[in-house]
Amino acid sequence: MLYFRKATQGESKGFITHADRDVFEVFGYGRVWVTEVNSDALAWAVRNSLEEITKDAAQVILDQARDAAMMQWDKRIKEDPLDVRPERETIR
Amino acid sequence: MAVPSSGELQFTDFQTEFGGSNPIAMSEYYGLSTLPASNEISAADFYGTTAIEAEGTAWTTTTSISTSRDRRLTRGVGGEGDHVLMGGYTGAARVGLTDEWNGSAWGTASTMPGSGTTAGHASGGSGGLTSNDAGSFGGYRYENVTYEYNGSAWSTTGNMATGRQSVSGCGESTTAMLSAGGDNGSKLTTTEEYNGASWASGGALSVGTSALGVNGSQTAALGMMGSNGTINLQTTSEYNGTSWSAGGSVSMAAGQDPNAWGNDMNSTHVSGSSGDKAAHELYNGTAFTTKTSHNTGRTSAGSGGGAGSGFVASGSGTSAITPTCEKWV
Repeated sequence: MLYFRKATQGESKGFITHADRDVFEVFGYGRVWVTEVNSDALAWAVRNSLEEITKDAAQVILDQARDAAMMQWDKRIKEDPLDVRPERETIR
Repeated sequence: MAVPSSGELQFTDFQTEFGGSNPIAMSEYYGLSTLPASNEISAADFYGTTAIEAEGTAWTTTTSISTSRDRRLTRGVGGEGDHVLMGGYTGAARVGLTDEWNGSAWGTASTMPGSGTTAGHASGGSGGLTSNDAGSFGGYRYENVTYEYNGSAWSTTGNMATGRQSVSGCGESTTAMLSAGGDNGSKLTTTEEYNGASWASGGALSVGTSALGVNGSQTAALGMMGSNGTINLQTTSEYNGTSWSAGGSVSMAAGQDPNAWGNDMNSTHVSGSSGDKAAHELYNGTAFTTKTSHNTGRTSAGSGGGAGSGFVASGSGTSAITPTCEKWV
Protein backbone atom coordinates (compact mmCIF):
# COMPACT_ATOMS: atom_id res chain seq x y z
CA MET A 1 0.00 0.00 0.00
CA LEU A 2 0.98 3.67 -0.38
CA TYR A 3 0.53 6.14 2.49
CA PHE A 4 0.00 9.86 2.11
CA ARG A 5 -0.49 12.88 4.36
CA LYS A 6 -2.84 15.67 3.37
CA ALA A 7 -1.85 19.09 4.70
CA THR A 8 -5.39 19.90 5.78
CA GLN A 9 -8.37 17.75 6.69
CA GLY A 10 -11.41 17.92 4.42
CA GLU A 11 -11.86 17.21 0.74
CA SER A 12 -13.37 19.30 -2.01
CA LYS A 13 -15.14 18.28 -5.20
CA GLY A 14 -12.74 16.51 -7.52
CA PHE A 15 -10.34 15.38 -4.79
CA ILE A 16 -11.27 11.81 -5.71
CA THR A 17 -13.16 11.27 -8.96
CA HIS A 18 -15.13 8.28 -10.23
CA ALA A 19 -12.35 7.82 -12.79
CA ASP A 20 -9.87 7.57 -9.91
CA ARG A 21 -12.02 4.94 -8.21
CA ASP A 22 -12.05 2.93 -11.42
CA VAL A 23 -8.27 2.52 -11.39
CA PHE A 24 -7.16 2.32 -7.76
CA GLU A 25 -8.48 1.63 -4.26
CA VAL A 26 -8.31 4.47 -1.78
CA PHE A 27 -9.11 4.66 1.93
CA GLY A 28 -9.44 7.88 3.88
CA TYR A 29 -8.60 8.33 7.56
CA GLY A 30 -8.91 12.10 7.87
CA ARG A 31 -5.56 13.60 6.91
CA VAL A 32 -4.10 10.16 6.13
CA TRP A 33 -4.88 8.50 2.81
CA VAL A 34 -4.00 4.95 1.81
CA THR A 35 -3.99 3.61 -1.72
CA GLU A 36 -2.96 0.51 -3.52
CA VAL A 37 0.36 0.68 -5.30
CA ASN A 38 0.02 1.82 -8.88
CA SER A 39 0.92 4.73 -11.10
CA ASP A 40 -2.63 6.10 -11.12
CA ALA A 41 -2.58 6.39 -7.33
CA LEU A 42 0.76 8.20 -7.48
CA ALA A 43 -0.60 10.58 -10.10
CA TRP A 44 -3.64 11.23 -7.92
CA ALA A 45 -1.37 12.06 -4.97
CA VAL A 46 0.65 14.49 -7.08
CA ARG A 47 -2.54 16.11 -8.39
CA ASN A 48 -3.72 16.72 -4.82
CA SER A 49 -0.31 17.72 -3.43
CA LEU A 50 -0.19 14.83 -0.98
CA GLU A 51 3.02 13.95 0.79
CA GLU A 52 4.05 10.30 0.72
CA ILE A 53 4.90 8.95 4.16
CA THR A 54 5.65 5.59 5.75
CA LYS A 55 2.97 3.34 7.19
CA ASP A 56 4.36 3.96 10.69
CA ALA A 57 4.18 7.71 10.20
CA ALA A 58 0.63 7.37 8.92
CA GLN A 59 -0.35 5.35 11.99
CA VAL A 60 1.13 8.01 14.28
CA ILE A 61 -0.90 10.77 12.61
CA LEU A 62 -4.08 8.71 12.87
CA ASP A 63 -3.38 7.83 16.52
CA GLN A 64 -2.81 11.49 17.38
CA ALA A 65 -6.09 12.47 15.73
CA ARG A 66 -8.02 9.73 17.52
CA ASP A 67 -6.40 10.48 20.88
CA ALA A 68 -7.41 14.12 20.50
CA ALA A 69 -10.95 13.05 19.59
CA MET A 70 -11.12 10.78 22.65
CA MET A 71 -9.95 13.61 24.92
CA GLN A 72 -12.56 15.94 23.44
CA TRP A 73 -15.24 13.28 23.83
CA ASP A 74 -14.28 12.70 27.49
CA LYS A 75 -14.59 16.40 28.27
CA ARG A 76 -17.98 17.16 26.85
CA ILE A 77 -21.45 16.44 28.15
CA LYS A 78 -23.00 13.46 26.37
CA GLU A 79 -26.45 14.47 25.25
CA ASP A 80 -26.95 11.31 23.26
CA PRO A 81 -26.73 8.07 25.29
CA LEU A 82 -25.76 6.15 22.18
CA ASP A 83 -22.94 8.52 21.34
CA VAL A 84 -19.87 6.28 21.43
CA ARG A 85 -16.33 7.14 22.42
CA PRO A 86 -13.91 7.38 19.48
CA GLU A 87 -11.32 4.66 19.39
CA ARG A 88 -7.94 3.98 17.84
CA GLU A 89 -7.89 2.11 14.55
CA THR A 90 -5.09 0.14 12.92
CA ILE A 91 -4.38 1.54 9.51
CA ARG A 92 -4.65 -0.95 6.69
CA MET B 1 -41.62 7.55 -9.14
CA ALA B 2 -41.07 9.91 -12.04
CA VAL B 3 -41.74 9.16 -15.69
CA PRO B 4 -38.45 7.92 -17.25
CA SER B 5 -36.20 10.80 -18.27
CA SER B 6 -35.07 9.28 -21.56
CA GLY B 7 -35.83 6.54 -24.03
CA GLU B 8 -39.10 5.32 -25.44
CA LEU B 9 -42.22 6.22 -23.45
CA GLN B 10 -45.56 4.46 -23.44
CA PHE B 11 -48.97 5.77 -22.47
CA THR B 12 -48.88 3.46 -19.48
CA ASP B 13 -45.85 5.42 -18.20
CA PHE B 14 -48.04 8.55 -18.05
CA GLN B 15 -50.93 6.69 -16.44
CA THR B 16 -48.71 5.04 -13.84
CA GLU B 17 -47.44 8.42 -12.72
CA PHE B 18 -50.46 10.69 -13.19
CA GLY B 19 -53.44 8.36 -13.38
CA GLY B 20 -56.11 8.60 -16.06
CA SER B 21 -58.24 6.18 -18.00
CA ASN B 22 -58.48 4.66 -21.46
CA PRO B 23 -58.85 5.84 -24.10
CA ILE B 24 -56.06 8.22 -23.11
CA ALA B 25 -56.34 11.92 -23.98
CA MET B 26 -53.37 14.23 -23.63
CA SER B 27 -55.68 16.97 -22.39
CA GLU B 28 -56.07 14.96 -19.18
CA TYR B 29 -52.56 15.99 -18.28
CA TYR B 30 -52.72 19.74 -18.96
CA GLY B 31 -50.93 21.70 -16.24
CA LEU B 32 -49.78 18.73 -14.21
CA SER B 33 -46.20 18.91 -12.95
CA THR B 34 -44.24 20.84 -15.63
CA LEU B 35 -46.55 19.89 -18.51
CA PRO B 36 -48.08 22.63 -20.71
CA ALA B 37 -51.45 23.96 -19.53
CA SER B 38 -52.94 23.95 -23.04
CA ASN B 39 -52.27 23.24 -26.68
CA GLU B 40 -50.06 20.42 -27.79
CA ILE B 41 -48.27 18.12 -25.37
CA SER B 42 -45.52 15.96 -26.80
CA ALA B 43 -44.30 12.72 -25.33
CA ALA B 44 -40.94 14.38 -24.64
CA ASP B 45 -42.69 16.85 -22.33
CA PHE B 46 -43.27 13.93 -19.96
CA TYR B 47 -39.58 13.07 -19.59
CA GLY B 48 -38.71 13.08 -15.88
CA THR B 49 -42.05 14.53 -14.76
CA THR B 50 -43.46 13.60 -11.38
CA ALA B 51 -46.98 13.84 -10.04
CA ILE B 52 -47.08 16.46 -7.30
CA GLU B 53 -48.78 15.14 -4.20
CA ALA B 54 -51.10 17.26 -2.12
CA GLU B 55 -49.43 18.22 1.14
CA GLY B 56 -50.47 16.09 4.11
CA THR B 57 -52.27 17.62 7.05
CA ALA B 58 -52.09 15.12 9.90
CA TRP B 59 -50.20 12.19 11.34
CA THR B 60 -51.83 8.75 11.36
CA THR B 61 -50.34 6.05 13.55
CA THR B 62 -49.96 2.80 11.58
CA THR B 63 -49.17 -0.77 12.49
CA SER B 64 -45.83 -1.24 14.19
CA ILE B 65 -42.70 -2.82 12.77
CA SER B 66 -41.75 -6.22 14.15
CA THR B 67 -38.52 -5.15 15.83
CA SER B 68 -38.33 -1.60 17.13
CA ARG B 69 -35.07 0.18 16.54
CA ASP B 70 -33.42 3.53 16.07
CA ARG B 71 -30.11 4.89 14.82
CA ARG B 72 -32.08 6.06 11.82
CA LEU B 73 -32.56 2.57 10.44
CA THR B 74 -30.06 3.84 7.86
CA ARG B 75 -32.89 6.13 6.78
CA GLY B 76 -35.84 4.48 5.11
CA VAL B 77 -36.81 5.48 1.61
CA GLY B 78 -39.86 5.19 -0.57
CA GLY B 79 -43.16 6.61 -1.73
CA GLU B 80 -46.71 5.59 -0.81
CA GLY B 81 -46.92 1.83 -0.45
CA ASP B 82 -43.27 1.57 -1.27
CA HIS B 83 -41.30 2.15 1.92
CA VAL B 84 -38.33 0.15 3.12
CA LEU B 85 -36.47 0.34 6.43
CA MET B 86 -32.89 -0.87 6.64
CA GLY B 87 -30.78 -1.89 9.62
CA GLY B 88 -30.85 -0.03 12.93
CA TYR B 89 -30.12 -0.44 16.62
CA THR B 90 -32.52 -2.30 18.91
CA GLY B 91 -31.09 -0.94 22.14
CA ALA B 92 -29.05 -4.10 22.54
CA ALA B 93 -27.71 -4.91 19.10
CA ARG B 94 -27.12 -3.51 15.67
CA VAL B 95 -29.22 -5.44 13.22
CA GLY B 96 -29.46 -5.97 9.49
CA LEU B 97 -33.23 -6.27 9.46
CA THR B 98 -35.18 -5.02 6.46
CA ASP B 99 -38.88 -4.07 6.66
CA GLU B 100 -41.15 -3.21 3.75
CA TRP B 101 -44.50 -1.36 3.83
CA ASN B 102 -47.10 -2.76 1.46
CA GLY B 103 -49.58 0.06 1.82
CA SER B 104 -51.32 -1.31 4.89
CA ALA B 105 -48.79 -3.22 6.97
CA TRP B 106 -45.09 -3.79 7.55
CA GLY B 107 -43.48 -7.08 6.62
CA THR B 108 -39.95 -8.36 6.97
CA ALA B 109 -37.70 -8.91 3.98
CA SER B 110 -34.23 -10.31 3.39
CA THR B 111 -31.51 -9.34 5.85
CA MET B 112 -28.70 -6.97 4.95
CA PRO B 113 -25.18 -8.34 4.43
CA GLY B 114 -22.54 -8.06 7.14
CA SER B 115 -20.76 -10.43 9.45
CA GLY B 116 -18.48 -10.58 12.47
CA THR B 117 -17.97 -7.35 14.31
CA THR B 118 -19.83 -5.43 11.64
CA ALA B 119 -22.92 -7.63 11.90
CA GLY B 120 -25.97 -5.51 11.50
CA HIS B 121 -26.05 -1.98 10.37
CA ALA B 122 -26.75 1.24 12.18
CA SER B 123 -25.91 4.88 11.90
CA GLY B 124 -25.47 4.66 8.15
CA GLY B 125 -27.02 6.76 5.45
CA SER B 126 -29.30 5.79 2.60
CA GLY B 127 -30.57 6.86 -0.77
CA GLY B 128 -33.00 5.76 -3.43
CA LEU B 129 -36.68 6.40 -3.89
CA THR B 130 -38.34 3.01 -3.95
CA SER B 131 -38.15 -0.28 -2.13
CA ASN B 132 -36.84 -1.79 -5.36
CA ASP B 133 -33.96 0.64 -5.61
CA ALA B 134 -32.53 1.48 -2.21
CA GLY B 135 -29.01 1.90 -0.95
CA SER B 136 -27.30 2.00 2.42
CA PHE B 137 -23.77 3.12 3.19
CA GLY B 138 -21.34 3.60 6.05
CA GLY B 139 -22.33 2.79 9.61
CA TYR B 140 -21.08 1.76 13.03
CA ARG B 141 -18.11 1.84 13.45
CA TYR B 142 -16.29 3.76 10.74
CA GLU B 143 -17.74 1.45 8.08
CA ASN B 144 -17.14 2.27 4.41
CA VAL B 145 -19.45 -0.39 2.96
CA THR B 146 -22.23 0.22 0.46
CA TYR B 147 -25.20 -2.08 0.05
CA GLU B 148 -27.92 -1.98 -2.58
CA TYR B 149 -31.41 -3.50 -2.27
CA ASN B 150 -33.42 -4.40 -5.37
CA GLY B 151 -36.68 -5.32 -3.67
CA SER B 152 -35.76 -8.88 -2.93
CA ALA B 153 -32.02 -9.18 -2.30
CA TRP B 154 -29.06 -7.19 -1.09
CA SER B 155 -25.73 -6.81 -2.87
CA THR B 156 -22.44 -5.26 -1.78
CA THR B 157 -21.01 -2.61 -4.08
CA GLY B 158 -18.24 0.02 -4.13
CA ASN B 159 -16.91 1.30 -0.81
CA MET B 160 -16.92 4.92 0.29
CA ALA B 161 -13.41 6.36 0.37
CA THR B 162 -13.83 7.46 3.98
CA GLY B 163 -15.51 5.01 6.35
CA ARG B 164 -17.78 6.70 8.92
CA GLN B 165 -20.71 6.34 11.23
CA SER B 166 -23.54 8.79 11.88
CA VAL B 167 -23.36 9.58 8.17
CA SER B 168 -26.41 10.94 6.39
CA GLY B 169 -27.56 10.64 2.85
CA CYS B 170 -30.16 10.92 0.17
CA GLY B 171 -30.58 10.37 -3.55
CA GLU B 172 -33.15 9.73 -6.22
CA SER B 173 -31.81 6.32 -7.13
CA THR B 174 -28.92 4.02 -6.37
CA THR B 175 -27.13 5.50 -9.35
CA ALA B 176 -27.11 8.96 -7.75
CA MET B 177 -26.72 8.85 -3.99
CA LEU B 178 -25.16 11.50 -1.78
CA SER B 179 -23.43 10.97 1.57
CA ALA B 180 -22.79 13.94 3.85
CA GLY B 181 -20.76 14.38 7.00
CA GLY B 182 -20.40 11.69 9.62
CA ASP B 183 -17.90 10.68 12.24
CA ASN B 184 -14.68 8.66 11.99
CA GLY B 185 -13.44 9.77 15.38
CA SER B 186 -13.66 13.35 14.17
CA LYS B 187 -16.70 15.15 12.78
CA LEU B 188 -16.29 15.15 9.02
CA THR B 189 -16.95 17.74 6.32
CA THR B 190 -16.69 14.90 3.82
CA THR B 191 -19.28 14.57 1.08
CA GLU B 192 -19.15 11.71 -1.38
CA GLU B 193 -21.23 11.07 -4.51
CA TYR B 194 -22.17 7.59 -5.73
CA ASN B 195 -22.86 6.77 -9.38
CA GLY B 196 -24.04 3.19 -9.00
CA ALA B 197 -20.55 1.74 -8.88
CA SER B 198 -18.14 4.03 -7.06
CA TRP B 199 -17.96 7.01 -4.71
CA ALA B 200 -16.20 10.27 -5.62
CA SER B 201 -15.52 13.41 -3.57
CA GLY B 202 -18.19 16.08 -3.46
CA GLY B 203 -18.01 19.58 -2.03
CA ALA B 204 -17.11 19.83 1.66
CA LEU B 205 -19.55 20.89 4.36
CA SER B 206 -18.48 24.16 5.96
CA VAL B 207 -18.42 22.53 9.40
CA GLY B 208 -17.62 18.93 10.29
CA THR B 209 -21.00 17.50 11.24
CA SER B 210 -22.44 14.12 12.12
CA ALA B 211 -26.03 12.92 12.41
CA LEU B 212 -27.55 15.46 10.06
CA GLY B 213 -30.91 15.03 8.43
CA VAL B 214 -30.49 15.07 4.65
CA ASN B 215 -33.11 15.15 1.89
CA GLY B 216 -33.07 15.74 -1.84
CA SER B 217 -30.87 14.64 -4.68
CA GLN B 218 -27.19 14.56 -5.56
CA THR B 219 -27.50 18.00 -7.14
CA ALA B 220 -30.05 19.66 -4.85
CA ALA B 221 -29.96 18.52 -1.23
CA LEU B 222 -30.67 20.00 2.16
CA GLY B 223 -28.60 19.07 5.21
CA MET B 224 -30.12 19.93 8.58
CA MET B 225 -28.94 20.19 12.16
CA GLY B 226 -26.64 17.48 13.61
CA SER B 227 -23.62 17.70 15.90
CA ASN B 228 -20.29 19.43 15.36
CA GLY B 229 -18.77 17.50 18.27
CA THR B 230 -19.17 20.35 20.72
CA ILE B 231 -22.77 21.45 20.35
CA ASN B 232 -25.90 20.37 18.54
CA LEU B 233 -26.78 22.52 15.55
CA GLN B 234 -29.89 24.36 14.40
CA THR B 235 -28.42 25.43 11.08
CA THR B 236 -29.04 23.97 7.62
CA SER B 237 -27.02 23.84 4.39
CA GLU B 238 -27.99 23.47 0.75
CA TYR B 239 -25.91 21.43 -1.73
CA ASN B 240 -25.98 22.23 -5.45
CA GLY B 241 -23.88 19.34 -6.70
CA THR B 242 -20.65 21.24 -6.21
CA SER B 243 -20.68 23.15 -2.93
CA TRP B 244 -22.67 23.72 0.25
CA SER B 245 -24.13 27.09 1.26
CA ALA B 246 -26.27 28.25 4.16
CA GLY B 247 -29.97 27.33 4.11
CA GLY B 248 -32.80 28.59 6.28
CA SER B 249 -32.76 27.95 10.03
CA VAL B 250 -35.22 25.63 11.67
CA SER B 251 -37.34 26.84 14.56
CA MET B 252 -37.15 23.63 16.54
CA ALA B 253 -34.49 23.21 19.20
CA ALA B 254 -31.01 22.25 18.07
CA GLY B 255 -30.52 18.51 17.89
CA GLN B 256 -29.13 15.46 16.16
CA ASP B 257 -30.63 12.76 13.97
CA PRO B 258 -33.72 14.60 12.75
CA ASN B 259 -36.12 12.60 10.59
CA ALA B 260 -36.04 14.00 7.05
CA TRP B 261 -38.08 13.26 3.96
CA GLY B 262 -39.93 14.91 1.08
CA ASN B 263 -40.30 14.96 -2.69
CA ASP B 264 -37.24 17.13 -3.17
CA MET B 265 -35.02 19.65 -1.42
CA ASN B 266 -37.57 22.43 -1.73
CA SER B 267 -40.29 20.39 -0.06
CA THR B 268 -38.30 18.87 2.75
CA HIS B 269 -39.97 17.80 5.96
CA VAL B 270 -37.94 17.63 9.14
CA SER B 271 -39.40 16.17 12.31
CA GLY B 272 -38.22 14.96 15.66
CA SER B 273 -34.59 15.61 16.50
CA SER B 274 -32.86 14.78 19.76
CA GLY B 275 -33.63 18.37 20.83
CA ASP B 276 -37.40 18.14 20.26
CA LYS B 277 -38.78 14.74 19.36
CA ALA B 278 -42.28 15.91 18.43
CA ALA B 279 -41.55 19.04 16.38
CA HIS B 280 -42.25 19.05 12.63
CA GLU B 281 -41.37 21.69 10.01
CA LEU B 282 -41.50 22.02 6.23
CA TYR B 283 -38.86 23.76 4.06
CA ASN B 284 -39.89 25.48 0.82
CA GLY B 285 -36.42 26.32 -0.44
CA THR B 286 -36.24 29.53 1.55
CA ALA B 287 -37.76 29.12 4.99
CA PHE B 288 -39.26 26.59 7.37
CA THR B 289 -42.87 26.64 8.55
CA THR B 290 -44.19 24.74 11.53
CA LYS B 291 -46.42 21.75 10.80
CA THR B 292 -48.46 19.40 12.98
CA SER B 293 -46.35 17.66 15.62
CA HIS B 294 -45.90 13.89 15.79
CA ASN B 295 -48.51 11.87 17.67
CA THR B 296 -45.59 10.24 19.48
CA GLY B 297 -42.31 12.13 19.57
CA ARG B 298 -39.38 10.26 18.04
CA THR B 299 -35.95 10.84 16.59
CA SER B 300 -33.38 8.65 14.79
CA ALA B 301 -36.30 7.01 12.99
CA GLY B 302 -36.59 5.65 9.49
CA SER B 303 -38.22 8.26 7.29
CA GLY B 304 -39.14 8.71 3.67
CA GLY B 305 -41.95 9.36 1.24
CA GLY B 306 -43.43 12.52 -0.22
CA ALA B 307 -45.58 15.49 0.69
CA GLY B 308 -48.74 13.47 1.25
CA SER B 309 -47.22 10.06 1.85
CA GLY B 310 -44.44 10.63 4.34
CA PHE B 311 -43.61 8.07 6.95
CA VAL B 312 -41.57 8.15 10.11
CA ALA B 313 -41.06 4.67 11.50
CA SER B 314 -39.91 3.44 14.89
CA GLY B 315 -37.06 5.51 16.37
CA SER B 316 -36.17 6.82 19.82
CA GLY B 317 -39.28 7.91 21.64
CA THR B 318 -39.43 9.98 24.80
CA SER B 319 -38.25 7.19 27.07
CA ALA B 320 -37.58 4.16 24.86
CA ILE B 321 -37.28 2.97 21.29
CA THR B 322 -40.79 2.73 19.91
CA PRO B 323 -42.10 0.17 17.39
CA THR B 324 -44.91 2.46 16.25
CA CYS B 325 -44.92 4.26 12.93
CA GLU B 326 -46.66 7.38 11.71
CA LYS B 327 -47.74 8.42 8.25
CA TRP B 328 -48.15 12.03 7.11
CA VAL B 329 -51.33 12.12 5.01
